[in-house]
Amino acid sequence: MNFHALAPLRRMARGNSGGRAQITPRCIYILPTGYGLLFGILLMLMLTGSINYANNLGFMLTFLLVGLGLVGMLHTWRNLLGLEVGSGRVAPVFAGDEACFGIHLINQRRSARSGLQMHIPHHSMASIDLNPVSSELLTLSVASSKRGKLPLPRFTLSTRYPLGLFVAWVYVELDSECLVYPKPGERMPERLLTRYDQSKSGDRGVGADDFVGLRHYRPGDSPRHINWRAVAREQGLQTKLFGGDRTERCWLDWNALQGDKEQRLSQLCRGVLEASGAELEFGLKLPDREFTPARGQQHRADCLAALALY
Amino acid sequence: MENAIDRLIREASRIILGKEHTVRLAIACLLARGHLLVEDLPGVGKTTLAHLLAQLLGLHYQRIQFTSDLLPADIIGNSVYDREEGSFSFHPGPVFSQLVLADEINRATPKAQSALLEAMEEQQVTVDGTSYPLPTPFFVIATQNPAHQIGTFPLPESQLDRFLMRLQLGYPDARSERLLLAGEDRRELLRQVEPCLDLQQLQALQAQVNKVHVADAILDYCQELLSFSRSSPRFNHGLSPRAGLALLRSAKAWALLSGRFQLIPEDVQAVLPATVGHRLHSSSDTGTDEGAALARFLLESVAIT
Amino acid sequence: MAPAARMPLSRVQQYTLLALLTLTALPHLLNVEIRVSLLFLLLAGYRFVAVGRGRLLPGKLILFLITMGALGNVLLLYPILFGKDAGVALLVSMLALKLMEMRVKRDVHILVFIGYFMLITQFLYREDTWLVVYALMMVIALTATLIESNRIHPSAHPLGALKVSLWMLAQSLPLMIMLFIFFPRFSSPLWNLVEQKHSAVTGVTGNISPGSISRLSRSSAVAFRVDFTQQIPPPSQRYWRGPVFSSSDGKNWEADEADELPAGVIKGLNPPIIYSVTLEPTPGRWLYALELPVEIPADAQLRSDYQLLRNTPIRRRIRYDVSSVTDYQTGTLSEEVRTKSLLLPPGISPRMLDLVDSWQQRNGSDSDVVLRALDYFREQPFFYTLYPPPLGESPADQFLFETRRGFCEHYATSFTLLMRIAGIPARMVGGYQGGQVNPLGNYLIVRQSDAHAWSEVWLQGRGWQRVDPTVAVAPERIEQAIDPTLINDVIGAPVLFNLEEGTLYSVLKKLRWGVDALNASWHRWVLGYSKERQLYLMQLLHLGALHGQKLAFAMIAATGLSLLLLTLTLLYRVRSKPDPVYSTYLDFCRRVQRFRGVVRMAHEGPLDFAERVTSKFPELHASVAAITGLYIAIRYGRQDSKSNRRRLKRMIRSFHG
Repeated sequence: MNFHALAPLRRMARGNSGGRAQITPRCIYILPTGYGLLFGILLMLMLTGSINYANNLGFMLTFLLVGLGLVGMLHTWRNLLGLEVGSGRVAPVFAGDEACFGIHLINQRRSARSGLQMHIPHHSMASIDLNPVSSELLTLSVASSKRGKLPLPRFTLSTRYPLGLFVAWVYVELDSECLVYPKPGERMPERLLTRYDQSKSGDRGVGADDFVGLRHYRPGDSPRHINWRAVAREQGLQTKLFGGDRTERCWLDWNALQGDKEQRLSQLCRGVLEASGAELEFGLKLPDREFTPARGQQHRADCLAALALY
Repeated sequence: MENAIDRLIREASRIILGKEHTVRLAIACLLARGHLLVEDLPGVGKTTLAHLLAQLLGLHYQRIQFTSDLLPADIIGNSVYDREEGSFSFHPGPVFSQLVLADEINRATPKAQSALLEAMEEQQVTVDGTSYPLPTPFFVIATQNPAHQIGTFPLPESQLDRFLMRLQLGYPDARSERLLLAGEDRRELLRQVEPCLDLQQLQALQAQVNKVHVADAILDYCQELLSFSRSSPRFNHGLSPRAGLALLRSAKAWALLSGRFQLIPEDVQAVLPATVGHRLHSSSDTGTDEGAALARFLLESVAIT
Repeated sequence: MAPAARMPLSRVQQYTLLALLTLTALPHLLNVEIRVSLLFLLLAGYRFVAVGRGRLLPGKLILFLITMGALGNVLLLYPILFGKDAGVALLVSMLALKLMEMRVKRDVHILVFIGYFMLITQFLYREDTWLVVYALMMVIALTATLIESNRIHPSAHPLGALKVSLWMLAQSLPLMIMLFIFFPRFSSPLWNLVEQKHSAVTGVTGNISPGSISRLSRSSAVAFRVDFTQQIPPPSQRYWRGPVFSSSDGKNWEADEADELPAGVIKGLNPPIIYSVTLEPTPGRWLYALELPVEIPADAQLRSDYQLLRNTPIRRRIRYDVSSVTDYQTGTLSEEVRTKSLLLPPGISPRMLDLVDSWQQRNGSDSDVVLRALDYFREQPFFYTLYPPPLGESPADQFLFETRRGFCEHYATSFTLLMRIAGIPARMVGGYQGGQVNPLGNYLIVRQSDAHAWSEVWLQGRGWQRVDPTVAVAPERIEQAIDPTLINDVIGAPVLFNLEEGTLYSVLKKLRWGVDALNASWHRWVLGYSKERQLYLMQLLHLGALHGQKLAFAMIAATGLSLLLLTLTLLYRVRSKPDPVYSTYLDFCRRVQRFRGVVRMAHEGPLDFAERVTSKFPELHASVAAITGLYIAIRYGRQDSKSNRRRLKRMIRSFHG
């Protein structure tokens, strides 16, 4: 069934500010499926037979099935009615990857809603059976092409449950965006990547990895750091100092790069990925913005977001 | 008992001017047996607040100034070689007190930070294989400078989670500032403060917090808040069950401070920004004041039914 | 089409479908030629083995060959593919082929549709109650299969779909009833199909031999039901006349169906009884009526021997109106009938002639001879039994003088013969005698066990008169029905009549009456629902003006209305009810909004709202604080009680801003 031929006329379920849309009677479309039409032909046949043989049991079965078809239509319609659709979390992706939009389907009703199907034409579909008073998270993926914000396209939510004779559907529009980072480009030149900001001696005593020197013992120093060899030589209590926790620090600088805007962003993106992969402390310099060197997932995400939205 | 609470708040507001709500939250945090994180710029009275609470509650108080070269042993204590006896003996660190003020906690290295946070979590300190229990009650009031200041190690999320509340003091309003400038020296005033509670009273109050009645409707409301935080794309990730427990515990203490023995939605709403502000992260923006804005968004999105 | 439609069927689904469809086809396997049934069982059995063994399923070519074979099979057996037998044979073969092809989810729909169709065709052969129940169960199961196949994942509970199916079918019942009542009925079929020979039905036939009626007597099946407009006549008058037997070969008696002569004038001596009969399918064309019918249905004829014959065979239940006179006088006897009624079959023994002679010697009228004959039956040791001993070459002689144990047909035939020997025109009449009044339905049920045979003699001045020799032997037979459930199965044992009634027995009997009343209305209003019945029902419902097109509109309106009601009930169930205390509080919020224009925000707690209201309208402080305080105490505190809820409601109702 090509729902999209009806595009200009359609009514939609739109999300509110909280990112949720509730399906109202007005936005549900319903049509018989191919099987529905076949069932109709079958019923006509049964009715003709019953009339011809004046068979009342035949009439009864035919009418029972007519009733079943109508009730089925009602149930298909009701299967969508009152369902809540909410936008869920969207993980950022790199340009070219599939953006996965989380979609919550929330059933507040005390009866189940089975056979629900979500569909973005040419992209993806997802389906689920919802239990009574429950909610489920489904993902719809859309191929991302360029960096920036990728909005969730309008999608259809449809159902054929319970009998498959009718298909009911709604068009849903939710305010959900996926942050698309630039596609990681070429590696940044080595000389630009690593630039020690401070000398090794600059963070003496701060780390615990590399030995950087000795100083006189102060109360409170860990006995494990006491230079016992010196004690043995009667040189007094000396404490070993360690450093190295903050030594690997670098700047990723827009101005140091060549090429057009997108190329530079791609290279910076690669730089951020490699620096955070190598557990370096890194900063990012863009023409209008600067991130002081830091590390961690949040910092990485902030830098990548800045690149995506630059 | 209510009188004690009232006096506590009145005395505190005498020293810290124009910050009654914040002070109440801080007291609620202590009554709920939680640790407190105060985050703000230097000089707005973070240390004064911690000191004041210690004085008012009559607790044994120690202050640790966190610096970049602070070692774990500086906090928890260490075994020192005694030349005369030829053996090591344990010298307890400043963490062995009823109220610890960890000043500028984000200036120290993650190692030093985690030493304190482990002590907070486990209520005991282990040195060279021997465990030393911490005193009860045991409170930590940590202060930190806002993130993105040069030379800081921001606390990782997992460790932020150990603090029941994060408070921001902010600048005083014009009237309070005027009074502050005109009034006596705060340090002088602090010295004059008399304890309002003894240890037994404090423990009785803490026990009462647990007895505050929580109706099903409130549990439903809390659950709605948690589930909204988990489903809304506005948040980077949802609130943990621990955050939910923290919310409920702080709200109970808040209700008790307000003289009520049953929880109402307003209690939850009052403590929510302080309790979940440091546990929420926005999924897109990178603003500085994001915790408060996110908490407000969360509160306004979930209906009370 | 969604790719889900191409999902392969699980083993459970395959087994379920196979079992269900085989069950739907099962009653048909007796209706079609054995070769078609065998082919179906063969293919279904093979398919059963092939479940889970995909490679056993036939490829395209093999399937094509099987299809051709199956079609050829049907064509050979039913050369003109016309009529219901051929259609059903084709349907059964088609189902078998479709089963072979069943692989993916998409096939479920087609298979279920074939199943539905299979069920409706069953009713062309049988209209039994068990078949209705069976078909209903099948519809429930087939629908459940359809529902299950439209889920994304199989339901957690194996009977989950069955529950939905039952629930949906229950909802479609009112629609079915509306459609059934209002759908305009036609009086004649759309087209005439080739008449087919009908399966055997029980009932009195046009041929009576010793034992043929006693066989019927063991069946409690209903022969017909009678509705009387006035008082039901007493048992002694309830002789339901059927075939009339005039000619015999000494053993068998034949009814004359070919006689086209119309009946002579019947002079009724009492006012006619008007009644209508609902007749079950029966062999022959006899319409049963009380002796003797005077007003007859339009599609029947009263013959010269007063047989009431319908123009067409009685293949399905029919209903007709008759009126009869129980006291009557027929006219003169035509020579032809007299000859026919005096004809003696071979096998008349001297003993019989002697017997009749002994009666005639005592001088008397014909009626005296009749009485003497009856006395003979009464005085000699005759027994009335359902299991008479077998009779040899001359049954009448043997019965009269040797065995003396027999059922009504024995008495009637021997009596008729004796009368003919005496020169009195006599013949035998078959039909039913008696019938039970259903006190719950005020109608009469006549069962096959009421089948009876009696004699008719022609007496000068009175015409044909009924003589029932059985009365002479066992008068209880006439007053009481034989209860087939009480028949002792010992050969030769006398029939026990249902004379005493224990309490348990009477309860059982009442139950049976209830069941039969239900059964009767089922027959009258469902199976026998016709154009006439529809008209009658419409008049009962004061909708007499509805017919034809208007009826169709009424049908659409009634169905639409039912559907609308159903929609509303379903919609009502959609909403989950809020907490009752909260909805009371919401009422308060609405009142504040109405009287003061302050709107409570969805996320605003009760205390905050109260504060906001009182800060704007300090004069409301007392009432708002009281209401809010009580609400908080009930909803969030520990003071939830009925009286507090009522108090809150009262306070809010009296809040007028």
